[in-house]
Amino acid sequence: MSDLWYSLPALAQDIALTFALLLPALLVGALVLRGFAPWPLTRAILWRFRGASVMFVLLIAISVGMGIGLLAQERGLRRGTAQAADKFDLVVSAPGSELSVMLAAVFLQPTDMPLLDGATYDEIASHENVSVAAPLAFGDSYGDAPVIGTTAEFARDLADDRIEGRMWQASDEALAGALVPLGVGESFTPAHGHGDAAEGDAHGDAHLQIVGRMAPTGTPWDRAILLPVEAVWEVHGLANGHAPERAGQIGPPFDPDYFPGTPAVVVRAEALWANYALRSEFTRDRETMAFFPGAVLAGLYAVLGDIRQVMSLMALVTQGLVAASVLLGLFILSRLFRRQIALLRALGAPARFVFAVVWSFGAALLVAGAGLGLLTGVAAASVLSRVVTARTDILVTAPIGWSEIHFLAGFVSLTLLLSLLPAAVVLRQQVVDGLRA
Amino acid sequence: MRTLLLAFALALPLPALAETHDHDAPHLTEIAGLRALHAWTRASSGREALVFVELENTGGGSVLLTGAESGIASDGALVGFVLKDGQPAWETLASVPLAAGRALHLEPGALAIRLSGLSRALTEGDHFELHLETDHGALALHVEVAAADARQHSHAGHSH
Amino acid sequence: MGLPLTISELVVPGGKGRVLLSLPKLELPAGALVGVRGPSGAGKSTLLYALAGLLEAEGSIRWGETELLRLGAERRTRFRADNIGMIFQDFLLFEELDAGANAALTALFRPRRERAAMRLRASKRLSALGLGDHAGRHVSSFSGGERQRVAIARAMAAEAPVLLADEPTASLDRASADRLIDDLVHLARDSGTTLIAVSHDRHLTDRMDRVLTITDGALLGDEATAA
Repeated sequence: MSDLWYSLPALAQDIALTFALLLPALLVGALVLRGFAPWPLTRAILWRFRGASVMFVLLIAISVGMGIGLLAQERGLRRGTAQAADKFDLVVSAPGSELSVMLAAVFLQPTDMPLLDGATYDEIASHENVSVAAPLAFGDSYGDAPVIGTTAEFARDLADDRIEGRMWQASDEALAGALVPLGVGESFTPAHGHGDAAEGDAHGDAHLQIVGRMAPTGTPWDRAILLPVEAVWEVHGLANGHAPERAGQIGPPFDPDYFPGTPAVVVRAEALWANYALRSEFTRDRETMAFFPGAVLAGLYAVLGDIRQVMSLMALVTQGLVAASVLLGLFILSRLFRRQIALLRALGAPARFVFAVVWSFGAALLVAGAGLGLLTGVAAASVLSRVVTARTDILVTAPIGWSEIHFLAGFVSLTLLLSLLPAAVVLRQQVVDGLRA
Repeated sequence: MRTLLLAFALALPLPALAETHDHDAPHLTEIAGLRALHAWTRASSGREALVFVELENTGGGSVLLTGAESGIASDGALVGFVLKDGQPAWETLASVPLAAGRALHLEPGALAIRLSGLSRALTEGDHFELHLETDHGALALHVEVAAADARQHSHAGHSH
Repeated sequence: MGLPLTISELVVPGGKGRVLLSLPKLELPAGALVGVRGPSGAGKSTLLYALAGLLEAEGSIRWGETELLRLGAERRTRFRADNIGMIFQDFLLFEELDAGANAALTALFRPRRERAAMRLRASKRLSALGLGDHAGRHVSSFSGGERQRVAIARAMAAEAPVLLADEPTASLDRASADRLIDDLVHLARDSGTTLIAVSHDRHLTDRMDRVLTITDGALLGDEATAA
């Protein structure tokens, strides 16, 4: 049986699971409604209590929508952050916290980091398995924009080679990320540090010009200004990575003797296996640390996965409570149509028919609420995505996935079973009392 | 971001508490200069298991790792960790070369030997045999089954 | 054809040792038209509900061959569906449904194969009661007389051999009440239905074969009328 299950394609599994979750509801529905046609009466009751019905449907829709929206958002956030780390196969830095280095290198969260020296960089760059070894020099800023020194090759790769204007050709030229408020041709002076602590006049005599703008990447790099790593070294009054006779060179190879240091190096290998080999090789006590940002993120997601489960549970409990109060409301409403129920019994309607009418009334509210909740969830997720994207510059999209559908199916099934209760309570009412009411 | 940091701190591996050595099975095996140390996997009742091990090529020439096989699994392969659409996944690697004098760590979030079609559940404290296939022949590994949530071998950091 | 009724030693208890209605003996032939009168709270409605099998009682209520009080709750309901049509003072229609749907209401819980025939009969009854052109109208737009006609069509849609009416004219003006009485009496006589109508309305009781008078839970009068 489990072999069969694992042999199914993922889509078939998802559909089968959705169906399995809905099955109890479908079975109960079929059993309750078998042989009857309660819908005209259900519609009549819905219409009579349309105000309350709309309220109930909205309540369910909002609670279901918020649960679904949050769950979809959590996955969207995971996807977005993973996508932001896509261009960073392997990062090498001085030993320390992988998370801090990842936040600094991938998400441009400023942090103080020790530097790798020229010999170490040279060893990485000249390794037989390394195809790209881009230094990342951060620490400067212009306004809200972090200023990052790197190589032209890495800048091109980040922008997928979509650069409006041109690539820098000298150490006083720079590229603007898609969201940087500087146009091509404008000049700026980078400040040392970030935010309030930035020393605006530290690099007072450095004037750099934007010569190109990178296409949007959906990552925090959209807010960054990229410039040749030589420029970062120069504005700090350091050697520029090249021997004096080649002082005008921009980009690798760098001369280890004139290499002032870099906090991190983004490494790419030709073959997939070589990344793992390089990681093993550059993981050295007290010298270098090499890690996959993807693996660090996966570690985070594992923690988030637990949070997601807690969130799912909380969302389910909340919705359960809303559903319970709706059912309680149904029960109160059922007192209002006591006479109609008593009339049906007096006219010879079997108990199960009356049961079917009351149950299908509740079922209609729950199913409508769940359906509307799905739409609310889509809307909530899209609004949340926009907010998160605006706040973090990480492009987050949160389409509804199968896990939300399963969640919804479970909710519908459970509450349809629960709504058997008020239906059963209604049956216990005395017919004659109802007629005289 | 602070919550993320905190969350991550909670997930960091705890230092191994168990320091007693189990000398029933050798921790170190070797073929043609290729040495394997501390092979381990996680307890599981699933159909797949990832085996991690520290490899070092102490020989004079390069060694090509090509796959793995074990009596308890129908299939074995070298796999590398990738993050696809925010979902962790393991991609099959046909072969991985290991140059002379170099080390290769098969560890969580990087490289692993994936055993699929397991014929039995793996319980903590178990051992089983696995053969790492190379162009110089098969290297026997004695795999120790660690806790289901282990992140490293209990003796990690010790040199034998 | 209607069903004959035989009641013996019927006692409907009212809880706390009270007796709502006590009827030692009553026999009505099939197709009889019977009025029930008496002061308010005397037990007229109790009699009607007991005859419909809606109240627990001691003694015997026999409709034809069926001993009603020996049936379990669901079999009594079944018996009511097949044999008894009920009409109420305030009509008890579903305001949200049209006249046709109200008249054919009981089709909703009939087996699928019977539903079409039931709807057809309901619509014929509506036509016979002069509402054939208004079957598609919502009953909320109907006058009281029209509503009670819809209720009669509903009660007779299953061709029940017994009609129980509880103050059918009390909510109507005189003219509407008189027209309704005509229709009700004609329909009952034409189909041979046994009709038992609780009513204060002399215009109605005068048209019955017999009139029972119930006071303080006991049968005090049983007289044949001139009609």
